[in-house]
Amino acid sequence: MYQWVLRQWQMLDRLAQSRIFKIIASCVVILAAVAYIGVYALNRQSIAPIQAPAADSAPAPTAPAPAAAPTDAGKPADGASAAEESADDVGMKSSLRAINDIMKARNDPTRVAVMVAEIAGLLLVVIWLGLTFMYLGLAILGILAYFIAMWLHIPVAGPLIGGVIVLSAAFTALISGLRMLLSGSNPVIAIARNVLTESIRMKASLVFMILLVFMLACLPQWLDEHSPLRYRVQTVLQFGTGMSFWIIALLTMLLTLSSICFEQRDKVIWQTMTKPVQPWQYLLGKWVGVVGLAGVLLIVCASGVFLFTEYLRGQTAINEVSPYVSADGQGLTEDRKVLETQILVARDSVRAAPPVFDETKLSNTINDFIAKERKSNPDFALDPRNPADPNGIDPNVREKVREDLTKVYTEMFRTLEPAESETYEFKGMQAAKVIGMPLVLKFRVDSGSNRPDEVFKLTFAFNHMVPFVKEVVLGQDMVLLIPPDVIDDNGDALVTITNGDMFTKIPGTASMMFPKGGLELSYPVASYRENYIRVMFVLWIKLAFLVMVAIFCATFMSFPVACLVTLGVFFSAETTTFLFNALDYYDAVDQEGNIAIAKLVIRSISLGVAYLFKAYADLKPVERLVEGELVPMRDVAIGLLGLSVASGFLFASASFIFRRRELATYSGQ
Amino acid sequence: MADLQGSANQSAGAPIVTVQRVSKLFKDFWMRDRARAVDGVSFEIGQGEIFGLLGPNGSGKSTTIKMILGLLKPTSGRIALFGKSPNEVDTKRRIGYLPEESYLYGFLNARETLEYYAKLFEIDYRTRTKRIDELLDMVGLSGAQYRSVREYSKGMQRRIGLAQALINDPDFLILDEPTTGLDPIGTRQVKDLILELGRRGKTVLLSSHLLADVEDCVSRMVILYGGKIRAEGSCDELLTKQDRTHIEVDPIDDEAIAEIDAVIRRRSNGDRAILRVAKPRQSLESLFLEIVERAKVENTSTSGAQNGGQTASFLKAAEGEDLIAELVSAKAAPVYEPAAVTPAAPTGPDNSVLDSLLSGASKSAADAPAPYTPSTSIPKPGAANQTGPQKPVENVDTSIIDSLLGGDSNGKKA
Repeated sequence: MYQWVLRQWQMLDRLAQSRIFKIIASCVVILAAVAYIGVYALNRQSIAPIQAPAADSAPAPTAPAPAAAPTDAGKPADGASAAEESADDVGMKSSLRAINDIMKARNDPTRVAVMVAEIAGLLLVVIWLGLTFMYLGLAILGILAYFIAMWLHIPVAGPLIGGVIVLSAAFTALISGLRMLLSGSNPVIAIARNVLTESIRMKASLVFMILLVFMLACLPQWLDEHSPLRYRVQTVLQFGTGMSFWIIALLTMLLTLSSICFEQRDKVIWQTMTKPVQPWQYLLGKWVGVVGLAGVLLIVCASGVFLFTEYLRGQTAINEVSPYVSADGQGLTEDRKVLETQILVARDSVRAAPPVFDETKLSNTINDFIAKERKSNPDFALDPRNPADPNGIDPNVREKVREDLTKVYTEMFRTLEPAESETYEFKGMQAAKVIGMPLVLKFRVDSGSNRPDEVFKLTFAFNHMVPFVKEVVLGQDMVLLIPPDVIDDNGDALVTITNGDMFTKIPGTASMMFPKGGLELSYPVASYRENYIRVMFVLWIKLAFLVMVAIFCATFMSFPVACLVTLGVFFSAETTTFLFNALDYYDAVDQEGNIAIAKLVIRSISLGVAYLFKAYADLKPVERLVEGELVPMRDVAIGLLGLSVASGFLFASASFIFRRRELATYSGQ
Repeated sequence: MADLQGSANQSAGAPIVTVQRVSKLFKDFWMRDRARAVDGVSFEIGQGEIFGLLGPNGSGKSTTIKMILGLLKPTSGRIALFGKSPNEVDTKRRIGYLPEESYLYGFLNARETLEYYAKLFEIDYRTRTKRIDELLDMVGLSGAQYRSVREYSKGMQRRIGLAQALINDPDFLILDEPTTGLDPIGTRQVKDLILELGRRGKTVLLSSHLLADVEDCVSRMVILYGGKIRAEGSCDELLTKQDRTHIEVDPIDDEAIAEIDAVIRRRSNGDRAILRVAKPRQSLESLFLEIVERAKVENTSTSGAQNGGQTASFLKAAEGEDLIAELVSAKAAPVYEPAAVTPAAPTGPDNSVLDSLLSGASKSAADAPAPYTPSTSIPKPGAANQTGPQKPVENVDTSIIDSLLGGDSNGKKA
């Protein structure tokens, strides 16, 4: 029986490899895709755009009108001027335009056509890779497994099986394609292909890949379906992309190290290096193979996460009766709005400008501070060059006092006492004005221990806009949609925030503070999809760098030592941002100017390490993706350049070491 | 030794390999001397030579080869390959190397293994495919070509190792213990292959501690011990025993043997005699080959390596030369026929004769060997090693056989 099945399978496989079959199958796929798009276009019902509500009229029954962001939680001022009302209308229209754009994009037939074309393209690739019957087999297995799971009442198994099969199929196709690309007759390509084969056939690598596929397939099961949709999407992006990157990074580093170290240990390398292969070709071949594998795995993960994110996007958000329809009939819910305007976009953001201090006043304050200190400690900050001079000031201590005072004043600038107001400035937003899309003010408020039951009322006043009040919870990111008209001709926007309700004249109950980076204004500059591609590219660059680190280590270290060093570099690079933040609070010099040598050494080493991996750490692709921030091309270019230079240096060093190394060892008695 | 070193530099053609006063000292992690594996070795290998590197385990053979290949760097001395550094890529393009063990990628199958190595030589698709088919056939692995190499027996791994060494049709082939792990058929094929390559003008460096393997193939050799060259020269120079004569005749009775003995004694004035007479015995290798050939005729299947086919055509001489090569090989190839009477060590009563002979050439009549007693003693097992192809013996005293055959007797009495 088994032999019969095997023979039939081999026959089908030969059929799938034949050219005539591929041509016929391709024609069928293309015709089916064209037919589907045609039928969809004919049957599509256009959706009317949402209209702004008339002054005294009820919302239109077919298209509920949403309230503009600034007003949906606030109240208009009683004595607002006509000019301000007019500005408010402008803000309303701007918000409506954004929402209509979202709805329009959702119903755009081009979107469906592109999706169908993409699926058809993938099918054509599968057909021409000779994987048609393998895919059919996988599909049949999947369907069988699904029905068995349903029969056994295991509903969770359905999506899991589907996910595993889709991801496995994508992986198989991409690996086949990559192997086809690496079929040339050249040492570098031959070695690269060999690494790829090794990665698929070695059990250790396979375990990682299976883990990755299962992790992605299981991800939907971990989501709490009662939590806000935006959090679910962020969880998928964070874990799907972030964890995938970590697993792929560990896999690629270990594969590189094992491939090179074990080839030397097992002497397999002798037969390669006695062929016409230069040391640099050998190392480059290894790098190309592993980086190619990393690319394939990233694409598989990215496709899985992207498709699942799109699926989640079509689910019901909090306070929605169905996707994109709010329960109160007032347009988009807060959950949906945040998701569409903050997360599934690519925004550029500007943080509130730091306060500018008057140098004369600051200098006087420093002198006052030192004088005050000297009342209790006469030797405080005496100039060591002339200790006898009672008016002399140690420049180091003065600088230290200046730093501390600046820090304190900056925090005070971000702190609002009850009923206190502060104006914050956002500069350089000309691009946002040109784009004309609504701005998103993202802010976070901290107060005391951030009790979850405590609510603050803040009053926001932008240029040309009616001030409004917003109720905020503590310790959570909040957003407000703001019309782009608040940006002046210089590209600056000003907002005055008051701790309390300025309309009812009720001050806030306690002082509150915007944490560092807790007040920013952002605007969409690209699509989420484009940003996602950039993120994947950045992750790939990072992986390519890590693989080169592993290659460098493997040229002169044994496997365990090389593993320790490579993983050390990886963890250091990944935690560089944390290191920079931590070093802000780890000062080797105390307020009296005394230097702790041990602290100084630790700080210097840490700073050196942090700066070494700055180019790597500054990219922050996953964080940006989760927050819906654009990964700017400039950052991508800088990261690419920095990591390329570092990788080039490592490669040159590794080649030099490898050339000088004796690959054979003493084997005598 | 100085003379030996001097003569080691004499090679047949233009030197392919030049090794000059090469030493290799291995050090440990703390840079303390660990072992001097090679100590002042010099030799040259000429174009078209089949050169043997002999010595017991740990004598420095593999270290010397690794230095020739650039896998190790000499502590002192100089090595040139085709007049260039061993690390030059152009040099490596002309070399084939079979290490002392087959170090292969276990996750590849035989075909993929050869594909991989062929691609390192940038051999185009058509040539590559043709060569791989021929080599797989030659080493008898066509039937197991899609099995992963890690499932192979040691012998099968040696075969695929040999195939990869030949994938680029090398001008210079380095074989380190090539017959280790091979069955007698594989061993014979390797020897045939080496001779075939030699006829084609290829240069072969053969390293082994199995002396019979080397003896059958090489034209010149060095013997290493303790990292130094202890002997060097052609096979004839090193192996011919000038103080013995070997006669092979059709079966004769004891009386005829006694008569011959008497003639020898008479002509040598009692100084010489027949030392040993033995019936020819088939070697175990020949017996084994016969059994396998018989099984092949009966189409008995095997899951392992099959008997290899002919030498791959790309390794053979150009068409037209094949016939000549075959004719030449018929004469030059090693003989696997049952061995004739071999000069095995005498046993039993013959020891006394041997002892008396060893005591000196000019002996008194009282010390003369006892008259020959016909014996059919069985040679010791070790004698099987001497059943290889017979080398032409120079400086043989033919007067004795002439006299036996009733011809002119030109022998001189002592």
